[in-house]
Amino acid sequence: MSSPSLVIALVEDQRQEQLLRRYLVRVGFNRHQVRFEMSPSGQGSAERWVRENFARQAGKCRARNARAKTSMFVMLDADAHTVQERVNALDEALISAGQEPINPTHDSIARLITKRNVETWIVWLSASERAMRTVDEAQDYKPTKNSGAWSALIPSASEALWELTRPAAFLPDFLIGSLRNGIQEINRALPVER
Amino acid sequence: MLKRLYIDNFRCFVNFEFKPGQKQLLLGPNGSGKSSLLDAILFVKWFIEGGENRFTQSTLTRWQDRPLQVFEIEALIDEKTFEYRLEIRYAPDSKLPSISAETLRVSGSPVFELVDGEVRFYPNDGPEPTGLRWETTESALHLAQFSNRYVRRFVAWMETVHCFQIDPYPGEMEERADSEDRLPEYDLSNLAPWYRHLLQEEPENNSRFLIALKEALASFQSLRFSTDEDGVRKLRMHFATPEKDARPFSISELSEGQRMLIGLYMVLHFAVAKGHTVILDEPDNFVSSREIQPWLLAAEQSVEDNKGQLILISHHPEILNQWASEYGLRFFREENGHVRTEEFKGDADGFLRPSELIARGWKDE
Repeated sequence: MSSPSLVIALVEDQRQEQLLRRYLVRVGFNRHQVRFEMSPSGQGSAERWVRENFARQAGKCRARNARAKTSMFVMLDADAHTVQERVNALDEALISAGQEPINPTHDSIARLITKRNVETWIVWLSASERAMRTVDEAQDYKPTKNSGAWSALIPSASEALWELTRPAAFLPDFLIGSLRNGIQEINRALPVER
Repeated sequence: MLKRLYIDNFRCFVNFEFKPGQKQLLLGPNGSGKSSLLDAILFVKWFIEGGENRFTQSTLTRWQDRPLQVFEIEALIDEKTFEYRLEIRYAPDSKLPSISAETLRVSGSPVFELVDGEVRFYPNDGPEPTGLRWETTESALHLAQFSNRYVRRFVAWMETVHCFQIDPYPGEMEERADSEDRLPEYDLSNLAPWYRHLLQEEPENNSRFLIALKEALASFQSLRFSTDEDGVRKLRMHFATPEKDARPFSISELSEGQRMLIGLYMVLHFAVAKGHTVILDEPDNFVSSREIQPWLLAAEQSVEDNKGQLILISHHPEILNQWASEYGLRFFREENGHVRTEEFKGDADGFLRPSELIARGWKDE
């Protein structure tokens, strides 16, 4: 039997999975240590699927974390909502399931809320410094590139994300807010050598 | 990269066109033509390579009454479009078919033609084709390899198109390696001779391969060749034992799942990682659910990093749920007729996972 999964990642789609997968491998996890659960997508709401599955997955991770270190990543596009609204919705999902909301001190659960969506993060993370300053979290960059072009940007984006989550990494003042939150969430939930 | 495949009058394929992406999952019910697609590519590949000719009367579509079978392969190689076309004619009273046409075009211009028994060469530096009578039941492409670099390039590219149906049953995977095999067999029956070659040629990929096996196979230590008392070199898997020292095991002592995993990681590190086109039929056979996603994630990353192409045929929920929504192409046949395809569309409400949707048989409604 190979080693157990140490990180459970709940994602909306393939692009989020690609970014997070590369990041976690870069951090040093092997692929047996990470387990992805992805929304079935289709024409429905991937965000809703992630939110509805979040409480059940968080409960399992919390229970396992009591006996063996287990982290969880949940990744959601904020879309037209705010990051805080998505965070609140996740807490409400926990409360509805009879669980405590996320406790930043005790829970190893990182809420990566991308605003406007994961493509915004990819644009910022793979851009030059000058271009980074112009990235707008209200804008939907998704239609600006085809699937292959987005995939091609992900390796450099995940590398940049790894750099930003290293100990004592410099976070520039023009870092977009949702990514700044995401980095804090990662550092809190994944306190490993990077 | 394989861009397009056209098949007409072969088994259940009639006027069939397939345009695969860089990552593609072929799904659909049993008998919907998925594995036959792999066979079609494999037969054409063997035909071009001068190997066994599998084209016989029995491969014609049963309900068609036409003697002509057509295959077309379009590939993007070195930023150029290569178009290969093969027309096979079956006479009712002859066992062996004849090749009525075999052509190769690059960026729209012919570089090789065999039409009605006449071969036309297009030498690299010669503007005019030269002709030769050639009645054949075999590929004539090799005749032009020395005179035209595009023909050579296409034949070399075909070697990097791999169709795998890994067979892990006992006795099917060769553990003797009296010599080296440069290329893998479709069922990995030459696992040891191929690995002996790779060990010499690709030490870096081999290091990654062994690390991956250590992650996937509990107690696995290494793969080594040893010479037995008869002087035969055999591949041995070394596993740690309860006494902690590593002991060699023969391939036949492993489980089907262990053999399958070794095969899958060989395909990943020595074919996908080299940017090849790999078509893999049911990679999930015998493999524990625990092992499927790690292999698939590694394969995805390798395809992305190395500009390769991976086409999977699978019914397994792990693979369906990971790939169907984004890369799924559903094969189906209406009233047992010819094969049709459509892009997989998930549950409209985004609630049911692809595997659950398919298991309920609701996909067709």
